Amino acid sequence: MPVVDSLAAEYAGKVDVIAIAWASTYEKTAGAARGYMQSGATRWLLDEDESIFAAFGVGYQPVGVLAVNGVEVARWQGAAGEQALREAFEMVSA
Amino acid sequence: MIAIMSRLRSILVVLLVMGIAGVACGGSDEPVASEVPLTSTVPSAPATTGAQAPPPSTTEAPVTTGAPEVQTSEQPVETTTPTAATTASVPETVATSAVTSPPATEAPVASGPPVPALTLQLDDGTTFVTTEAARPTYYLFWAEW
Repeated sequence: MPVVDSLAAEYAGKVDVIAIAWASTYEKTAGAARGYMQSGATRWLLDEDESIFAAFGVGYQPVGVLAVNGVEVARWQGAAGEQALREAFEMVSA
Repeated sequence: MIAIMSRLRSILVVLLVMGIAGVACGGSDEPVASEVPLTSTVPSAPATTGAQAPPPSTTEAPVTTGAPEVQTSEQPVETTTPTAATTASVPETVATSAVTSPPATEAPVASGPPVPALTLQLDDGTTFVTTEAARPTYYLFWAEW
């Protein structure tokens, strides 16, 4: 998560980063977000009814989805490496 | 017959010699006239032109031909310059086509599945519509137990 937040800060204005949490309470999620997303560039929300996870077809976490113009262009099952994310961000923000 | 033939030959020879001598004498008289041609070379030239005309005209023809050749040689130079300009502009076009290459990179982008149309209520109080994202968006699905 810190890696994602660092990239979110680096690509602020070029790539939006939204963290969608589930299976937790709002308080716990907010506490974790304050610790992991200190840059302020990563925005987050709690998917209380898990409808967002279902809509994206995500059945577990962590999963990363990169979309451009409303179209999914990449998906990482599991934690994505910083280099892979950076390359993807660079490609879509060029 | 042989005697007659030999006489005729000798007569012919004599006539030839006289003719040559006459020509030689006439030529010696012409030196005076030859000075005239020196002065009036131009007028006499047309008269002689019958024989000498071809050379000048032939000479003029090459000159005329030379002129077009010069023009032709100038044209290539001009053509080369525009070509260079065109070549210079081509890179711009190539640059444009190079700009076209990023779309080629975006080509696979359009091949993915569409993101679900959702309105997300974010922590900062704003809403985010997935189908109206102004920029590329990275969604991270996570959990904090």
